[in-house]
Amino acid sequence: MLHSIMRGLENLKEIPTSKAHCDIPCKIYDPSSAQIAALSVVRLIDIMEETASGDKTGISSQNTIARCVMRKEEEAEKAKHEVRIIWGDYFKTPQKEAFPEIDELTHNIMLKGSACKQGVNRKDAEDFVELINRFAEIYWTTKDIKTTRSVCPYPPSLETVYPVL
Amino acid sequence: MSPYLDDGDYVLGKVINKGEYLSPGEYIELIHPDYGSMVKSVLSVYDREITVTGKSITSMESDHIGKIPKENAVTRILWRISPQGITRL
Repeated sequence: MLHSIMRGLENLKEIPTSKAHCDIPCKIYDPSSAQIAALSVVRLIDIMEETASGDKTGISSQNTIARCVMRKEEEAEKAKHEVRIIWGDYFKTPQKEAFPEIDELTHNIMLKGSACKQGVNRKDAEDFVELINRFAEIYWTTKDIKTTRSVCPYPPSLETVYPVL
Repeated sequence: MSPYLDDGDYVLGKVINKGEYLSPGEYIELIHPDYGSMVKSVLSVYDREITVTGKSITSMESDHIGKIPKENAVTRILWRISPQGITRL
């Protein structure tokens, strides 16, 4: 009955609303997907370079290039997407205060990812990897997990940030 | 906060004045810098900050919410008014 009275009152005067829960958080955040996608962009540019400079000509070569362009587009977008999710869903005021650079870093990752989609400049792709490495370092640090840098054990064999678990 | 609170419930409380003591387990309304007004249970009380938790299995976990300045705890929630009646929290 009291609940009905309150509902009636609410029709007359707004009662402030408070949330008792938030979105269901999966809490599974890991920048490794973004890192692997960025490394894939470098690898795809390398394959395109090898294909274009090799003896292979004709439709087979064109097919390889076309597939690499398509995959490069997808991998760069995937890396951007994964970073956006972590930045948007995980990083909150405490983490942002600890790492004020995170907003600009994330924006730079977006810009560099777009450059990787637009072109085939290996330097852009290497920078993309490095920016996401830094993002990963910050992320793991906010979780009080140390990181280490090692050359990834597969092409393109670039330095990659790994959590020390 | 289910089963302690459900959507559509009303709560009654008392304004928390500056310097008032907060105890773990109490229900409070807090103003979160990102999420706005929330009803949570006090988990830990530090010198100037508190951590809070929800009761539902789908609640955001404490480390995700982060530490909240004590002054952001604005109301001590005392009573719940649900369609089943009024109960003390």
